[in-house]
Amino acid sequence: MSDERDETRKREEEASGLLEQSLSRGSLFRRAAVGGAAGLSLPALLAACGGDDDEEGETSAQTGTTGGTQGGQKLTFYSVTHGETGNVFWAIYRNGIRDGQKVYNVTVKDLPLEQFSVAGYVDLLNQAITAKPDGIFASILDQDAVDQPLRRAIDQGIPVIAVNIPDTRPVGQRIPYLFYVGGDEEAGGRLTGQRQLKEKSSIKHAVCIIHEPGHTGLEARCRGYDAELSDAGAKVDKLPSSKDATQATEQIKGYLQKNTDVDAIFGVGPQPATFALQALDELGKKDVMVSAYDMDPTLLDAMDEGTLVSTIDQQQYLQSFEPINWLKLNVEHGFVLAPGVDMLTGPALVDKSNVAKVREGVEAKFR
Amino acid sequence: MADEEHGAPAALGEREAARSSNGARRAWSATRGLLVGRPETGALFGAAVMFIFFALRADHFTERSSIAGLMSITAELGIVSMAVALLMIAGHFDLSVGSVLGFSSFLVPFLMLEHGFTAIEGFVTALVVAVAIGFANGFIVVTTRIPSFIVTLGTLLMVRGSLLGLSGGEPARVEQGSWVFRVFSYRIEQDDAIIGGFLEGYQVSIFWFLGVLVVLSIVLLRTRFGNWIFASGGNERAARSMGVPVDRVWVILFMVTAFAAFLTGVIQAGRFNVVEATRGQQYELQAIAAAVIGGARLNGGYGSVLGAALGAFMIAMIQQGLVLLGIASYWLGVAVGALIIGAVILNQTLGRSRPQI
Repeated sequence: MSDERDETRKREEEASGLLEQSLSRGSLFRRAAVGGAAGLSLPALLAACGGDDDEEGETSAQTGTTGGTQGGQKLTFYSVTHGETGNVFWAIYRNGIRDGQKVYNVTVKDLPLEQFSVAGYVDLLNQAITAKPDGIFASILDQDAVDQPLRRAIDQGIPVIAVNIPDTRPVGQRIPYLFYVGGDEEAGGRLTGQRQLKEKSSIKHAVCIIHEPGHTGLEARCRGYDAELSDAGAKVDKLPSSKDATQATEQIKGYLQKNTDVDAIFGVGPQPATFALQALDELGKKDVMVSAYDMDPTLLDAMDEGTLVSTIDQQQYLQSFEPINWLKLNVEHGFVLAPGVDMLTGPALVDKSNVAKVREGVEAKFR
Repeated sequence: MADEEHGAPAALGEREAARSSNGARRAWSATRGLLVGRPETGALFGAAVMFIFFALRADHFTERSSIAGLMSITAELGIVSMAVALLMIAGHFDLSVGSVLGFSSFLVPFLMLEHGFTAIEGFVTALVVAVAIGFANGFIVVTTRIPSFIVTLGTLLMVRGSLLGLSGGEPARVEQGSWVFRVFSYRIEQDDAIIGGFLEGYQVSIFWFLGVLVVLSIVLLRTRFGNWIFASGGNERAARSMGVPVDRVWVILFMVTAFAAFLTGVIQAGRFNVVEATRGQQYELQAIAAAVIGGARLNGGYGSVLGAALGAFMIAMIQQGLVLLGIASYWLGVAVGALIIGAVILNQTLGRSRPQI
């Protein structure tokens, strides 16, 4: 009894999540191909909604007939990423794999790298290529190291989509994968800056707090934020902080005591933002805006309380769900995007206007 | 500095003494006697010089809130560093303290929210788990004779792995309603009885820090167990032949480092309303750095509890001082690294003139 209820509730959550993803999909595309993508996502949406009152098997069958499979055999794709199991961010990505398999009636083999090692990652890729799958989506962990194996896969006719980390070289030089599905960190920083300027157009002095100095992605978030606010005439500092909670909080307090005119803070992850909120609370300062990056229930609470202005969602669920959709479309119908066009799943801004909706997604493990 | 003890400064001391009263002479020689040849002397001078430097150069450094912040870092890092220093004196390392800190910090809210424990049950369970990990470290080291560096590297990974596994990487939220949290973590208000006036803005962790400092110093310097600690780390074979229960000393000290990590862990759980799964990462390196800056030798037999506390104080001063000087803490590693190497050179120089026992 209760199992059935759980199942139904889960379906409803999935459906609402999918609906939401589909509706916001228009904003994902950087350049052209916007209309096409929005249209193509409709079958997914319909299939998901149809699943609401059907048995699981029927859902798959239904979707199967929508797309059609080659020779009656299920397509097999490989997901090869550096996303270790047990990490929240990647758990959401895996939920995208789980749902993508069901919705598009394909088999997806997940090969995560458990211990960070570029050589180990190349081994995983080779393992996937040896299996001669119908498609591969992989993170470009190290563009030089994965260049050779991925080109070999593409030469063998295996379509490849880059996820989460792109090959940063210009089109023509970069690995000729179909396109990249993932976030743009610098754009996320810019978007945060824009959101804060909307709150207060005359920001005087802002600070970007970075808890892992030297981390390429985090530095890019700071860079985007700095660029946006500097253009608006603000002075922007960067405060590299300790990873330790107490040490970071005290450093932020020290910084705020020295720089009493600071009126905007950007923590490049949930931790520095939480520590900044703690520091402001302990100092009794109320007139400083704080924004965060990435998703965390605590951040959503802070937004409800009005202490946090915004955060950024990478929508990593789409970083597995969309490649499954597109690999299938590519294999079966040869669909591609315009050359050089990537699919950006982030940054998506979360603020008080959409926090309630986003919270549903977080609780259902879509975000 | 102490090398001069045997040379010119002695003559200088006498000239000076001839000029001044007998009382001053006695005070001077007593002070000198206290300072020379002690493991924490270098750290004491270093800390004083550093404090004066930042006080003169960094705005706001000597303000109450800034000192309070400095002390909250010192208290937490100091508690762990002092325990780690004791273990180093006895000849061993504990790399697992950062993981144990994170695990203790996480376990309290996790047990309360997910398993319906009361706050006190949560704290006691976390304490038992932490000390059990310490016992396991010690037990494995003394029974297998595998170097503690390797054993505790293993437990570092296992405990962190358990934390990630239990939490799924998600932060645990803390509901700090219970008084038990305030025992470990509370920001002193102005209208608090007795202490409020002069300790406003400080965290109560300072009292835990002072307590650990006093207790461990007495144990090391004034008890038979303290002698055993020095003996176990100085020359294990000689210690055993003299009947020192070396294995028991080691196991107990591994339990002490785990307890210290627990204490800092729950202090943090009380102050912050979330515990992220990375809590305490790399804390072991800071703790060893503080112990070494404070005069502890890597190969055992020599070191000081007060020195480790001063080492933690110096690391805290650099962290705060650089921010207040407006220097990006990208340079923090350079400063702490230079401090470690400088401290070891100074301690070696001082150590050479130490009277041989």
